[in-house]
Amino acid sequence: MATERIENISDADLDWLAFQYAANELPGAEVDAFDRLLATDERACAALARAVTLSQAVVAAESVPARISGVVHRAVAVRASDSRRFSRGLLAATTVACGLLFVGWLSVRAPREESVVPDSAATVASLWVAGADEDAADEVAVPDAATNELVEEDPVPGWLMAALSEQQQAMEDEEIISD
Amino acid sequence: MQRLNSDCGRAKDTRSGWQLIELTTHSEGPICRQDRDRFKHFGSHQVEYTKLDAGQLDPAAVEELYAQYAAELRAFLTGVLRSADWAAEALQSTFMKAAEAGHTAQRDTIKGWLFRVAYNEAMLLRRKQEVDQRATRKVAWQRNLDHEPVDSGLLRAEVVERVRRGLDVLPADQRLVVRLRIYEEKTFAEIARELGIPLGTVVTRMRAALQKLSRELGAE
Repeated sequence: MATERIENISDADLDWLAFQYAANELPGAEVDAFDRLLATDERACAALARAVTLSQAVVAAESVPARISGVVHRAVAVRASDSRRFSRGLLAATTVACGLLFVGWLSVRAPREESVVPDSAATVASLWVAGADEDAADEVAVPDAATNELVEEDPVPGWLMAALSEQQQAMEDEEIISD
Repeated sequence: MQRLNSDCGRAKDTRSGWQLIELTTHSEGPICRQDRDRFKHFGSHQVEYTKLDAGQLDPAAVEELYAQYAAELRAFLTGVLRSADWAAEALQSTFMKAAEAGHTAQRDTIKGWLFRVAYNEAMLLRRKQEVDQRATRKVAWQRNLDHEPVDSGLLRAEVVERVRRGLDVLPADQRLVVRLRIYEEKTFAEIARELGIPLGTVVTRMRAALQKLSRELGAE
């Protein structure tokens, strides 16, 4: 590129040429031409100064967000790591707690199941009535022993009476057969 | 190398007609002057006795020039020399020349005169260093900021903020090219390959972005 031609170019073109020079994007011959121009042309010198200043400012502007986002990324990574660690801990604790609750429930539940296994229809009926009485003890007034209000207030359900009568019938049938 | 500082102290010496210029000692190194007898050490400071004559610029005038043009000259010298240290050295030599011979320049052409002196000092340094710039040529900007804070005076925070605003309003494709070329120092050819677009498109985007950023920078 001839010096004479460069001297006639616009400021915008000179800025672009100066940036290419600063960025080391010019071919060798054009670098020499621009070097020679710098020796004599104030506009070219000023354009090069602008190109360097602008590029330095871009680096600075891009560096700061990069550093900040780097910190944010690291913070997010730390938080994510903490979160994963916390989740794993929570899961383990929940599992242990559930296990303990289950064991506790079993230990409380087991004797009851043994005690409520009925051996006859009469036992089932009596347990039903007794259970109903226990559950409602706080809310229901104590019935008068002289009357039959308890049965009326806590009747044995029909399905239970039907089951009992069927069971009773079956037992009677078995006795007839065995006789 | 001692650097001429814009806030260098001055005092009249007892010897009539001599001006004492205090040079702040920034770093160790040889004095970049031939006349070493003019320099004397006082503790951590180094002072230079210069005789004022009709041909010399008043130190206050040199300071004024420094305040006005040093940043631009430093950027120019960095662009020529690709080294912040060399640029600083050439800048110091430039203002020493300005103190000695600045009176020969016209006031309205002093900037061009300073650029020419700076360029000559840069060429002198190149020859002294005997380094082939072609062989080691690199971009002019990256290394200079590595050890300099943004608001150090070499690059004003205001300038950075203006450019940041300009970057924020650039189209995404232009901003990406700017970032890849300037911040990541990839060549246009590398960017074209990486983005899978023609080289001409990369150059066009870069040029358009630079024009917008230059307008933002020049809007002060």
